[in-house]
Amino acid sequence: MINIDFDSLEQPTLFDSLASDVKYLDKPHFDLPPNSNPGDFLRETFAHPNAPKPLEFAHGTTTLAFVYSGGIVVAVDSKSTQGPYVASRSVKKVIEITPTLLGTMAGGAADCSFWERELGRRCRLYELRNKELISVAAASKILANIVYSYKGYGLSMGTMITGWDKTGPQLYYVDNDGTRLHGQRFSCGSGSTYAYGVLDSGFKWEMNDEEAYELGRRAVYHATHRDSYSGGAINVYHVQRNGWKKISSDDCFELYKKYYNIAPINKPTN
Amino acid sequence: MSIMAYNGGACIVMTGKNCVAIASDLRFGIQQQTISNDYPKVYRVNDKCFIGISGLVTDAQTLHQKIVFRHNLYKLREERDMSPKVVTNLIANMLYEKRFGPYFTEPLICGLEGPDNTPYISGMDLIGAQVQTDDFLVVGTMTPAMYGVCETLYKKDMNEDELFETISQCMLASLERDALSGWGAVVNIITPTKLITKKLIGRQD
Amino acid sequence: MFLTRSEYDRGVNTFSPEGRLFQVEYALEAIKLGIGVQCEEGVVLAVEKRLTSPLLEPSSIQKVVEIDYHLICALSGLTADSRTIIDHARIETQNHRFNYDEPMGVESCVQSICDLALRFGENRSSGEERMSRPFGVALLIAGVDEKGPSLYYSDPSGTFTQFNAKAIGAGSEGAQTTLQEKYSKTLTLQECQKLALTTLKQVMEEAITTTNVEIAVITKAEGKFKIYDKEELAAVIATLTE
Repeated sequence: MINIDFDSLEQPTLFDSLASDVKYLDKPHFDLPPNSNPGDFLRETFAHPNAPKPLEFAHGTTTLAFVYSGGIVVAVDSKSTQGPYVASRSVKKVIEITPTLLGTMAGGAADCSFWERELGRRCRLYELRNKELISVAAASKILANIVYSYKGYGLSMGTMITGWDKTGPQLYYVDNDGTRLHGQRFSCGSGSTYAYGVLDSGFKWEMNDEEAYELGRRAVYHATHRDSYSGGAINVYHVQRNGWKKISSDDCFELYKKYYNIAPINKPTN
Repeated sequence: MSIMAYNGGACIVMTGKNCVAIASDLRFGIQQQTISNDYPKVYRVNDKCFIGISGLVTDAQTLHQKIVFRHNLYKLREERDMSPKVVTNLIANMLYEKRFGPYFTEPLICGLEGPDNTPYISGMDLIGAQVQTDDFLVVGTMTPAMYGVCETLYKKDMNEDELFETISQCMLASLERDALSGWGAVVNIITPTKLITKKLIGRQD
Repeated sequence: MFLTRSEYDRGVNTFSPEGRLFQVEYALEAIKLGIGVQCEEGVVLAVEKRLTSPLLEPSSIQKVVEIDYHLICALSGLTADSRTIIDHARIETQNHRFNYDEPMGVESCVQSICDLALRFGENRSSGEERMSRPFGVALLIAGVDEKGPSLYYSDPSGTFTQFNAKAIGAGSEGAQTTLQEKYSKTLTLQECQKLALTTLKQVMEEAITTTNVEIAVITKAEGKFKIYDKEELAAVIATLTE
C-alpha cells in the first residue's frame, strides 16, 4: 500500500481552534512582533528618530472608591482626552465586571476594558464551575497575575476592583506593575491627588448612603475642576450586599451651577 | 509638550457690520493643573483697538507691557491713538526683533480702522508673520475645533448683537473640545460709539 | 437489537455493512430518562434521578446544569462525560459574551457542543489529546434568545435536532408517544410542567418524590433559568394527583 502524506495539505481546522480551548483559558494570546522581547522592541522602535509618535493613551482620569459603614462607593469622571483634545465627555469608566463585581478604568482604556472583560469571563466560569461567587481577593489576584505576566509589554492600567463577598465589602487596587493592594480608600488617575484631598478630609466611617454618595461626587467634582484632563459627568456606583447599583450620573456643569447657585443671567427676552 | 500649550488658552476675533469682536477663555493653568479661572487674555490698547495674546503667559504679559509702553510713546509724539493696522505692524516688528529667541505667543489684533471705522482684524505667528482676513481669526491650544465652529457659524455683515451671539457660541462650542482652555470666557464688542464687555459662564472642568 | 454485532463494534471510524456505528449506538443506550417540553412562555426540563441506594445523598446527583443564565441542559448517560461537554459549553458561552457583549444564541451553543461531540472520529496530531470513544451522553438543551424559547436534543453522534417536546434515555420510546399525543402548541408553562412530569411518572419504576426528580424551567419573560427547590417540586408533584 502506498502511503500518501496528507499532512502538507492540512489546514488549521475548526477542530484545532476547539482544541485550543484549554490554552485559551489560561490566557488570551496576542500576535506579537517577531522579536524575542516585544517590550524592548516597542521601546527601541519608538525611540528611533524617524519613528512615528508612540501610542498615546487616554491618561487623564479621576476615579475613586472607598469603604464605609454602608458598603463601597465608587465615583468616577467621564472625560477622555488625546493630548489637549477632548475626545469624549461620556466615557464609562466604571466597568461592570459581573453583577457583583465592579472595576474602574484609568490609564489605557482598551487595556482596562479588555482585561476587566477577561476578568469577568473568568469570574463567571469560576462561578459556574464552583457553584459559588468568586471572592474579591481572588478576582483581583487574577487580574494582578495577568498584568504581571505582561510586565514590560507596556500595558497601562490603574484600577480598583470592588465587590461584596462572604467576607464583606472589599476594595483592591491593581495596577500595571502588578501592584495589588487591599485598602479602605483609593483614588487613581491624574486627578487623584485632588480627589484624595477632599475624600480624606471628608471621610467618616459612619455615613448614611446619601452622605457617602455626595462625598464621592464632591471629591471627583473638585478634581475635575483642577485637573483639566478630568471632567464630563460624574458617575456614582454603590456596592451593596447583593451586588452593585448605579446611583447617579451628573454632568459637571450642572453640578457647578447647583453647588454655586448659578442661574442663567441672560434669559431670552421674548 | 509644546511650550505654546504650557498655560493653555484660546482667543477669537471676528468682524461684523461696523463692529468687531474679540473673545478669550478665562483659564490660566500650568500644564494639566488649573491655577485660575479668571484670567482673560484680551488687552485694551485703546478704545478702537484690542489685542488678544495666546501662548506662554509670561511672554504675553511682557509683550503686552512693551506694547503699552510703545503706544504711550506714540501718543506723546503723535497726539493720537494707534490704529489697529499700526498696532499690527508694531507688534510684528517687535516679534521679529526676537527672531532667534522668540516670545512664545500668537497675538490677534482687532479694531476699527480710520475715520470710517472700518472693521479690521489681523493676527500673526510667534515671529511676526502677519495675516489679515475679513471674517475671523483664531489662536490657542485647539485651533482645529475653533476653525470648525467659526466656519460653520460665521455670517457676513452681522450687527453687534448677532456678532456677540456668534462669537460667544463659537468660543463656548470650541472650548468643549479643548482640555487646556475654558472655565468661562469673556467677549468684547467694539463699535464706533461704545464698548461692550460680557463674561460668559462656561464649564468648570 | 444488535443482531449484527461483529468486529464492526470495535472502532468508531468503521461503519458496519448496514451503515451503523456501534460504539455510537452503545453510547446512546447508556442514557437514563429525561423530558423537555417547550411552549410560547418558556421551556420545562424534567429529569429522573435514579437513586441506586438509600444511603446515597440525592443532592449530590445533578442532572440539570447551568451553562449560562439563559441556557440550561438536562443530561442523561455517563455523567463524567457530560462534565467535559458542559465545561466546553460554558467556555463557549462566556467567550461569546467576552467577544460580543451579548448572550450566546441557543442554536450556536448547541452547535458548538456538537462540534465537540464529533471529535471522537478525529486523528489528533501529535501532542493533542485523542478521544477514544464518543461521549456517552445525550443532552436536552433549553434556552431563550431573541428568537424566543427553544429546546434542542443532541446525541452522542454529534447530531442535534430541535423539538417541541422530547424524551430521551431508557424508556423514551413510550414517553415520546405520550408526549406526541398530549402536546399542543397552545400549552401554558404550567401545563407543560404537568405534561413533563406525568410522562416521566408513567415511565419511572418508583413513585415520584421530591428527591428523585429534578425540574428546571427557563422563561422568555425572565430570560433566566430556575431549578426548583424541594418546596416548589412538592407543589408541582401535588398537582399531579388532582
